[in-house]
Amino acid sequence: MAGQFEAIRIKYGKVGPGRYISHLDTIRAVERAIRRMGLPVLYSEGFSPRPKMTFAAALQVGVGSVAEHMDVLLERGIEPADVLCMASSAFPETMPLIAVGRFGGGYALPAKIRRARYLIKPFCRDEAGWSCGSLQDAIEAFKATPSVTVLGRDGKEKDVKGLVYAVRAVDGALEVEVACGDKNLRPQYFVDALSAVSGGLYSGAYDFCRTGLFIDLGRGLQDPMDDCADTAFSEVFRS
Amino acid sequence: MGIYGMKAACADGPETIRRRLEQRILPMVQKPGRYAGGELGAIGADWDKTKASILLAFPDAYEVGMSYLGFKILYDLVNSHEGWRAERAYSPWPDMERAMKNESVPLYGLESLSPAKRFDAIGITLQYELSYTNVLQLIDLSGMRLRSSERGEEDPLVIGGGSCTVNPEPLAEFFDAFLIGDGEEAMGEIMWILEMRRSRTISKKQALEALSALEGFYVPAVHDPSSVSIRRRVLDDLERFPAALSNEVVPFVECVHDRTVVEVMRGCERGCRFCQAGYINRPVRERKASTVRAAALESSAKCGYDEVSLLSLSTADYSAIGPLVDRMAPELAEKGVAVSLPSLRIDAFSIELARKVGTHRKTGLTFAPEAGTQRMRDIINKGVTEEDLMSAARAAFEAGWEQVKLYFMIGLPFEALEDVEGIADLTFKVLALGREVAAGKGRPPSRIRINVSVGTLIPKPHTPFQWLGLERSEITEGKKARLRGLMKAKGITLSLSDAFTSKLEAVLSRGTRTMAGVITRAYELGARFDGWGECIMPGYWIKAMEEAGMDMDTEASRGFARTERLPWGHIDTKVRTDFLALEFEKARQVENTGDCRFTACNLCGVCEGGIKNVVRGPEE
Repeated sequence: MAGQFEAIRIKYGKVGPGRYISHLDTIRAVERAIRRMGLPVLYSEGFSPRPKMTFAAALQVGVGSVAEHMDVLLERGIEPADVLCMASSAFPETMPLIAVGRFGGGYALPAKIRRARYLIKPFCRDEAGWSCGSLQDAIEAFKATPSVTVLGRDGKEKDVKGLVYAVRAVDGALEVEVACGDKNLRPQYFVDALSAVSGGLYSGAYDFCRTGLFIDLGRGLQDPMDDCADTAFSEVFRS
Repeated sequence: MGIYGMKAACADGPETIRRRLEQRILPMVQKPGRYAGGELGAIGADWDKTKASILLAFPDAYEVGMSYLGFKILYDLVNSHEGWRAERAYSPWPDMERAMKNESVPLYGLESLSPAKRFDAIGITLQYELSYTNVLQLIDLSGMRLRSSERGEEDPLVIGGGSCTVNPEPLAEFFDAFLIGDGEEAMGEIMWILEMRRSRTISKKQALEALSALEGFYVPAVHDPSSVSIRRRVLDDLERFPAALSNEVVPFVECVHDRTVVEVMRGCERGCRFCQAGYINRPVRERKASTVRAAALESSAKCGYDEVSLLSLSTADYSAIGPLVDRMAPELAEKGVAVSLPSLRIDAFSIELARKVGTHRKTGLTFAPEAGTQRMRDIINKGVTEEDLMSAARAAFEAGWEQVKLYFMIGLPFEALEDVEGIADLTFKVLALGREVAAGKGRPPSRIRINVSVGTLIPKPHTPFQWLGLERSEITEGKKARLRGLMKAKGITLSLSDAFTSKLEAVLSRGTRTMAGVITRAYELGARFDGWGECIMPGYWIKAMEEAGMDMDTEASRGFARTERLPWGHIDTKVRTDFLALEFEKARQVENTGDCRFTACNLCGVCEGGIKNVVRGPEE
């Protein structure tokens, strides 16, 4: 029987106060949600058995998301649509399930993550220095600068330019695609860099939201849910 | 006004608070999840149809407060009633307090982010004396004046509850009312009065008078402590309230205890003479095993915790514990949930229980012989012998435990140096036994570890030792030095309580109303989270005491004559003072007192008018 299992891939979000949940707290919260659902999940051996789950990529505290992913190993197969149904009341509103698909296995999700996309807005839009025009200027300045480094929280210089793959202004917000996985760039560092090259963007706190996560399976970058079958989407997030 | 002068902020509503939190505060503070709300099971933000509201405020960090069963019970009780609303608040950590002050954000309820002043009352639980400066922090951050007499007609009532209310005097000036005793029935009465208050049917003064007429309530503005007698409120039967909570909040942030808690019984009749909880929670009232089991299954399924804790002061004494664990543990294990027992006795039966539930594997076992010699254990009426400890330890080592924690106390009455040295003797005997058992089983004896924790007796109000002061610290320090010298050995780790913390706890728990000024001053100077080793600042307290013309050592070690009226003399826990005095005499005579569940009634005075021990025994 060894080696027989079914896996599902779950896409979920962190909205509202959900953005303040740390990665470790997220893992615990998902474990509890899975127990509430009564999902027939496989447990590890030992004194304190843990559900067998793999999380795609840790999210910084304070950053919201509509693109968190995890794989869960189950004792037996369950229709993704049924999982979504079971999850409706078990997952907190601040951590809503977005989609569930059947996953064929064969690789560890975190090892394949390459890129994340973030939407960045000021919490308070009427602050000086943040407008569509100035955003575009800042992006041009960033693109024109050959190398940009910022001072990280650990006191070390971080090379930002090499880890930013795409950046554009969308409806008064910044959309940026950055390295995620082996190499990582905190969205805050990107904003710091943008601020540095443009002589200051905005002085207040930013509203960061992870809107996409991409894996590379040798067929070009793709959404992790694209490598799933029978994917069911939550009504709320279907659009 | 408190030291913050936050009056202006209090006009602001939830939207302003939310905006300031999101934009200016939460991105800057540690563990922002503690201040954001949005947990599973929290009630919604809608205040429509609210007829009465209370902010349940815990004077310690979120991680501590969220683990407290009493507030879980009251939160559920209030929110299960249509038109009543309870929200939660906790002491902000110093970084958050600074941020709130800078951004003029008052204390708020996590459910709706409403400012504290929007509520009809703020209910603050008083679980330990070292949280008193945090109590002031909560009132101050609410945007109110600290002293009840200086607050206005429109300010919420500030009501205190919890075990420290058995000596309410040090905090009497800050509170409008205290509830002494069990909260289940009294909470409903408070809410009815708050309803009348909210609809302006009665004035604040009338509300306080109404509270003062109810059993268990002490209202400093109405009652004269020198003549009144406030009877503790006792719930006759726990089964009158559900064990399974319908509104239970499951936190995201890791808390002290992340688990489903079911109270199996309230009260303990073992009669350990140092233990305040054992006297102020009498009599024993057990829940039905069937209720406990159903609540554990329902609640763990709903919350999703991987652990269910069967809570009481002494869970191994719950009459149906054996059959209950036998039945529950496998049912829950199937769902990936373990059972834990927070308080075990020192006997083989308890070890067998611990072995069955398995959760103690990770954490190790704790035994509390409390004293090192039989004479001393008889003085404190800890009905445990050395043979009990050795047989329990043997059972534990044989079942595979390699780490055992022993808990002792020093500074006990009639204590001699040989009693202190007995702690070391006993520890070495347990260590030798562990090594012997390990060697016999072919395991390395060097893996056996004994962690010894030695506390200092604080003679608490309403115990037989209440007339005594704290032992002078020079004496206690000498005993600690002796222990340090004796217990330097491989395999033994000794931890000793901090002398200053013990003194502060003694001063606060045994204090009179004059302590109000000291607490206020220490708070103004910056004292917060005094129960946290990393936060306590003795300097603030020493300065505050000096300014009040008091000496910490003198105050801490002050005793009372048998004929004197005690500072807590107006609080009647239903345990007769004569009984406590007799227990003290028996301590002097090194005599034991039995547990009235198993031997004759000791005439402590608690049982009367329908209040009696409720021991149900195993069910068929």
